[in-house]
Amino acid sequence: MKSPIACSPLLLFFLLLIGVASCQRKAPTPSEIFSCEGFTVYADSLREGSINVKPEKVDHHLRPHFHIKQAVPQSVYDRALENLHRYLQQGDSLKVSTRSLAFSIYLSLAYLDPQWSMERLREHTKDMRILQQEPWPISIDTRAAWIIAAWEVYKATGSLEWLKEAYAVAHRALIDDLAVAWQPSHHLIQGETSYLGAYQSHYPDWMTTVDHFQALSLSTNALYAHAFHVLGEMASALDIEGTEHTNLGNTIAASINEYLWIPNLGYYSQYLYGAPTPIQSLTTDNFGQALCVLFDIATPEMAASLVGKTPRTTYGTTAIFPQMPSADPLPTDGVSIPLQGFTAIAATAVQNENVIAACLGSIYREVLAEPKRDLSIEEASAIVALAWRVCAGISFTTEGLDLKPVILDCFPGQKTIDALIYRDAELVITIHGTGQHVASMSIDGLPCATPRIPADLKGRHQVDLTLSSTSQRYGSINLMEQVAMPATPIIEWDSIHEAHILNFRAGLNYSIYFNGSFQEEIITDHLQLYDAKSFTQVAIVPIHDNRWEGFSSQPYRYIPNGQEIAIDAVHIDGHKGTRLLKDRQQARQVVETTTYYQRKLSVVVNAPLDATYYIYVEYSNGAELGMRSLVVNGSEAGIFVMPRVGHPHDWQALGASNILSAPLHQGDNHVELLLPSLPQPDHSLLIHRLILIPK
Amino acid sequence: MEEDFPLPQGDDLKAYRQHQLKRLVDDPSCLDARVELVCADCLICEENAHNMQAYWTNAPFCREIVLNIDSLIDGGHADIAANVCQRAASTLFNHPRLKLRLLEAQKEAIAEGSDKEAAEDADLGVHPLCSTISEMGLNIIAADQGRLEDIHDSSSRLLNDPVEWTSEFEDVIDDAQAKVYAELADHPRGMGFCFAYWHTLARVLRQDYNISWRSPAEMNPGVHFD
Repeated sequence: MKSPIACSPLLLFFLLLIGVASCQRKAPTPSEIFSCEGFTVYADSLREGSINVKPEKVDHHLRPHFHIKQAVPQSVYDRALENLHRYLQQGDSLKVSTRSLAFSIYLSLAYLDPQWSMERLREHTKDMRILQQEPWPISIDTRAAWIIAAWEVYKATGSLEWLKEAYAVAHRALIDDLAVAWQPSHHLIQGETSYLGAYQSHYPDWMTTVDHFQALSLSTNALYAHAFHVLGEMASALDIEGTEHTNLGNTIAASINEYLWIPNLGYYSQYLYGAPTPIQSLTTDNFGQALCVLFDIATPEMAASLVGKTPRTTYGTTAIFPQMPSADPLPTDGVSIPLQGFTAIAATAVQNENVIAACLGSIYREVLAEPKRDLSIEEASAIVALAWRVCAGISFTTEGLDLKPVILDCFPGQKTIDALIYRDAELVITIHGTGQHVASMSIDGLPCATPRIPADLKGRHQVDLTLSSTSQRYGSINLMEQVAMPATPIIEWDSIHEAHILNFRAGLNYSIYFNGSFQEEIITDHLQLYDAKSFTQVAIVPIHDNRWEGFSSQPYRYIPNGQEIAIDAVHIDGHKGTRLLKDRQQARQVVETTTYYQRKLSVVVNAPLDATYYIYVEYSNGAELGMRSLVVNGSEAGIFVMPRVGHPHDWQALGASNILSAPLHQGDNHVELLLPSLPQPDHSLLIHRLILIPK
Repeated sequence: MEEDFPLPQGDDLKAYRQHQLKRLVDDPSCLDARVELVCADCLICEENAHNMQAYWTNAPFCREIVLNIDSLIDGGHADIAANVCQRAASTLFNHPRLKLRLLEAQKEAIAEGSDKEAAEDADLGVHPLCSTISEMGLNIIAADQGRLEDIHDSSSRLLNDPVEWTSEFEDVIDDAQAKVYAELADHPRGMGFCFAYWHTLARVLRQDYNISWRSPAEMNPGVHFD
């Protein structure tokens, strides 16, 4: 390489310190919820520029009531509850994605109407399998979300009948997911993040569908770590052995903290990407970060750190930060109400009042600025959840409701949640004062030693919590303007050893990674690769201002001469060719496999040396995603995932499967592609080549 | 496969199909010509669907497949037959009865195919295809008996007008779509085209065929279409 410049973690650390310190909040005025250059949300109004918006009074008698003296939170809660009840009335005619439904149930609906929640969750299954709208297994996290929602319904009801049903569905889903999406070298789950994908793209353009699948995402893994914990708890409640599920959840959680935590920044990476030797993206996935706090994946120290240090904009927490490389991002890009809800609940867990205030400010601004807009089911659920999960600080457990309220200083006076139905009890929870320290709690006037409402309580009860007020808001916040990441480098390789950056921008630094490890930084547009002795994957990552990293270039794979073994389909055992391809030249060079034809393909691979090999398949597929298990010398090595390559019904476009790895010994090895016992469509896959590269 | 398959790369599939028909006229017992004919039919359907061009003309090709598929199964080409039926069915819209015949033929072909496990599943009625066939069959019976409220399509998360399951609809939809696309020939495709298409289709069905049809947007008021 030319012109290496050493990266300075110390400099980066000081820059970050300056960034955090410069964004410390000034003390708010008494009625101010959140204020920034663009707008101020007061307890009774929104001021944005010269416009002053007063909240509309919403009249209804829907339960649970939430009474608060301040007009803004009262109006926004009432409007959200009214919207939610409209969704509840729709019953089975409600059309929402499984993902939206599951998160809405998790946030609020499990407690607002558990029976409705059960029925809707059931409707999103077929033959005991969870239905999802995203293509499985490219995106799998919807299934984990369903499981977590189903568990929330159980906690709300204590219904063993529901638990048995949910356990059967959950067990089946997680076993299937584990078979196809487990990444053994990192002990993490593969799969696209559907939550972020619903709002915007968050992958570099060069990534294919298979690349999305192979990324090891924070949200996906946070959901799966918790889903496996939930499965363990479900098993335990049903008196079934479930330790292995709990252990798997712990393993994934530990791997999240090992591979996705960025120690010098104090928060998590959005994903590892660029298989088979991935690197860490320094962008945040703020939904995943909130989940890591809510599901106790982050240690208390990590949780406090990420809530305080994650960059947020004044208009709210964005789905990712920095934003995708593009023209100047708008102030509200990537800001959504559900994400503010999840973030506020996470901030409540670590009692960070400044971040709670920022989230409330963002939500109230959005709702007040558009008084006529219907809130989506997820938005309304998130807002209603704020009353329970932030104001009352309720954590729902199998033993009861734990209360850990955080009330901002701008909400003095009594706050009451009236007629919250919890199992066989109807609760009236009144919170006196502000702050986050519970001075006393009583149920029906009798003092409680711990702030918990037991699960076996029956009938109507009055719960009183008194908080000891504080004069300042706790917790740091890292507020800043929107930032777009630098453009993803486009690399042209002039020879196998020399390349230049086509879209090089002076002033940016470019980090070079070999096989996932940082090598050096360059500030010129040229780079040279030494004569590597083995497979080397090169990734080039742009850095702006020594601080904001972009996405890496499309990885370049250098394979020394003679090391790649490429086996054409004509050498695979079985019938060759297909009549169902217009290009007959190509048709003769493939092997066709369907769920009912040539389910098993085998080939003998002569390996020149004992080694672990990366293995993938070149294929074409004009229909839905297909899968085949790879078996090497009798041992299963994983599952090839082969989604559609081109447009629907295009059977000529060539694609590459995900990359698996397996040990081969010198000489002949028996390699098989088998139809796995996983749900998949009947249609054919056309196998072109099997590629093996020694690590 | 047929080693001497003469179709040149990029050539016209319809011409190739005509060639196979001519072979069959010359020799009706020529199994290879029959296999090539249904493969050409399938590829034509896929090309239409792939390019979103004239996909409403796929039904005649699918009928030709149905007409010839037994010969393939009986002639030892059950695996190809199953594949042709599956792929052709995926290109066929608004033809539940014809699609059902393709899927039934696919099931029969799988039952006669080379994979013993799949054949046994198809024979026993536990192959995943069987539940699709069963549901489609029940919906068609309900439509034929005028019980449109009993129609349930689990293959789609969106609600579609159950009138689409009636034979009256199936009989005219291809003509109606041809008229709609002719009328919208100069309309820019892309965002919002679906609304123009649905609006025109509803009008053509009502005016020319006396069929009242509700679009997906009307059937799913909570869903945002673009």
